[in-house]
Amino acid sequence: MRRRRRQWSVVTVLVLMLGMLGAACGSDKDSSGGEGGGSGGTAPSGGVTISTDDCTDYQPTKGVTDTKITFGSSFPQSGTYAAFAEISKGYQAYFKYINAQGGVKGHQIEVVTKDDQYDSGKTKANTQELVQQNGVFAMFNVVGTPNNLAIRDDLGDECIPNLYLATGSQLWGDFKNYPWLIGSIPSYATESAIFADYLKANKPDAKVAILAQNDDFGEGYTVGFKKAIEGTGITIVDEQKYNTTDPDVKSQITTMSQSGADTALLAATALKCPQSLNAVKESGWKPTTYISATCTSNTVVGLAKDANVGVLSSIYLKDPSDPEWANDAAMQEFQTLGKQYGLSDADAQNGLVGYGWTMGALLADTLDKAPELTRQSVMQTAWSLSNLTPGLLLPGISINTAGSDDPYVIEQMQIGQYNGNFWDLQGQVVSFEGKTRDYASTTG
Amino acid sequence: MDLFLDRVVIGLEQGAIYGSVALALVLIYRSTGFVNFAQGEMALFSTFLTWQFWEWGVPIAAAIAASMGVSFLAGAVIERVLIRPVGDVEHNALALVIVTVGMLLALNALVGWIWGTEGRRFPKIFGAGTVDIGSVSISYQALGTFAVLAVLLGLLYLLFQRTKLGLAVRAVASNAESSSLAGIRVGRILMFGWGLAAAVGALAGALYASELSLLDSNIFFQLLIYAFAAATLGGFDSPVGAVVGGLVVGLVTVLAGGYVGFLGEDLKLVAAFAVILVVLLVRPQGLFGRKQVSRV
Repeated sequence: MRRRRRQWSVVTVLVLMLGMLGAACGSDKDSSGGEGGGSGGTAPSGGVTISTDDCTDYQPTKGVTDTKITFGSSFPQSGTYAAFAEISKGYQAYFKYINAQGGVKGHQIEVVTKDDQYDSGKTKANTQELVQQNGVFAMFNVVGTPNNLAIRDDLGDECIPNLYLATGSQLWGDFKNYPWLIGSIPSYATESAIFADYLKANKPDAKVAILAQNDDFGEGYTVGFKKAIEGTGITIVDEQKYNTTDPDVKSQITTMSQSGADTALLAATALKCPQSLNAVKESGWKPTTYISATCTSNTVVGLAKDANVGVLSSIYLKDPSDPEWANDAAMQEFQTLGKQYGLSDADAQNGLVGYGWTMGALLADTLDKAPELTRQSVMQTAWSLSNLTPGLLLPGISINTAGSDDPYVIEQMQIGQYNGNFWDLQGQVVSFEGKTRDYASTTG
Repeated sequence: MDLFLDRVVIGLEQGAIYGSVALALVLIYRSTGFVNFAQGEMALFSTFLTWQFWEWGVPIAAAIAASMGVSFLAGAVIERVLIRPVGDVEHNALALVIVTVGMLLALNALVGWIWGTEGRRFPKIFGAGTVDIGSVSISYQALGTFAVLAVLLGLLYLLFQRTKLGLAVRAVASNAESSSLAGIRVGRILMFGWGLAAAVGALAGALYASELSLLDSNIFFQLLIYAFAAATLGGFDSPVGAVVGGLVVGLVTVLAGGYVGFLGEDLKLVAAFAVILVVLLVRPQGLFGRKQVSRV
């Protein structure tokens, strides 16, 4: 009699592995932003108004005492994506500095943070705990697209603000259905449009091959780019995808290199960025190459040593390692005050920390401008910002929002070219203010 | 035609790496009869060790050798301390699987704790150039990977077929109880099997990181599923099968990704699994595996 155990264990093993991979990598697919459904907010007339009529148990000033206002945040502090925890160093230093000056409107700003290891299930549990146990006023700068999707509905139902998310998905521009949440970094679609704009000026008949991560991160770039090149001489000659579980992207890059393309749009992130840059170099192909702004920190793009020089991306913050800003007032403030309030020398050179510092300044500005410290008032203020230039934003970039008319926070960027050490800025700041929606695919 | 040949080379190069990790899986399976889920993360740890030696200024070849030595000892210790107390596969298979899954998570966390989670650059073991053969250029890296794998297979063949130690390993794998009665120290043989697998894993990890020129703490999650596919295809108890299985999986995924339009790069693994399914239907023990027969 033949034993069957062995076959069975092999099948079990494969099934288990697939399951674990799925769990390990998560999936940030979400078919739609819910456009067209839902109750719909009241149309703003003049300033932006957000109705609190449908809120479950609306508590306008929860988390605000006479002397303090408490925020919550959840992001990976351990595990594979722990590097994102650097962001919080930046805003915590900024709040320490502001608090030492007396805080905002006499209130000290406190942010209670929890570790979610980039697992959206944990983000949800953390958020519940922060809301129920810690009684936070609002969530702030929660990292990750799937993570924010996981908490969007609960926070929305209770009308608890979720401010300045650390993700560039174009889903965060749906004011009508999700007024209690607002993004921060430029959407991936905006980035694509800015690259298309660069090509129009510098390489008007570019033949482009796209490498995209097989989820809505990659899709954001692809859809945005296609819309941006409509009616131009720029053509897409090849599109390749990769899964985050693929060990390598060499075969995709080989196909792209022989497609006749002279330009590469690499909508890849994390380690797949330097990986694909290495593969481009090894294939002998020499395209004009664009990488996602999520890869621009030296700790990521710097890994592709010798393969990263001349690569393009979009920049919206002053890079601490760029000597151009050595005498810049905002940069000096970040470096000296930041160190005074807890940053190390290495932190003060880190672009992610600089982003955190900028977000801290943006939140403080928002609270300062809010007519009163209620959830509704702060949220309405976040949706009606005008000409703010907090922290390390590049000269010429300002923050403007106007409810559903202009739902994206940062929509201006400048093309930068990596020189092996930092990003050399090219040309001028390009503004897509109020226009991101034209390139975004919120309906999938 | 050029594109086709390029794809074949890339498929074989990637396949060689899947095969080398599959080899480590097979070595443990042969001696103990169960699958070590932590194999990928053991290789991850070893590869970070190699990186650390290299970072300290040790030449890369010596760094790999040192890491293989340390990994051999660590593998043996893991068998003695974590695996043996749990029991053997006949009586406690599920607990063993759970222990290795636990090790997978623990080792990954340990790597993050020691070396942090940001990516690292890893050197090209065989240099960065290419050799042109006709219209195809093959990187030194790919040639080196093939050569190392061929030598490794040869050495394993000699070990298993031509030495007393190899004979003892085969005896223990075949029937531990009888081996023990015949005077073989089964415990030591099992430790040897684990140590050997860990050392092979260290080498496979270095080849993989060198191919990518990069290293971070989650690259082996991605690799292990391909290695499982390779070992399943080749037969879980055959070293040659593991390598051939790896090459086939590499080749099929790259070619299917390139030429089968409706699959494309994003679904290419499906093609590999379809091949495996067909093979298993015809030969349940895999291409090179031996049929398991047991008396009742």
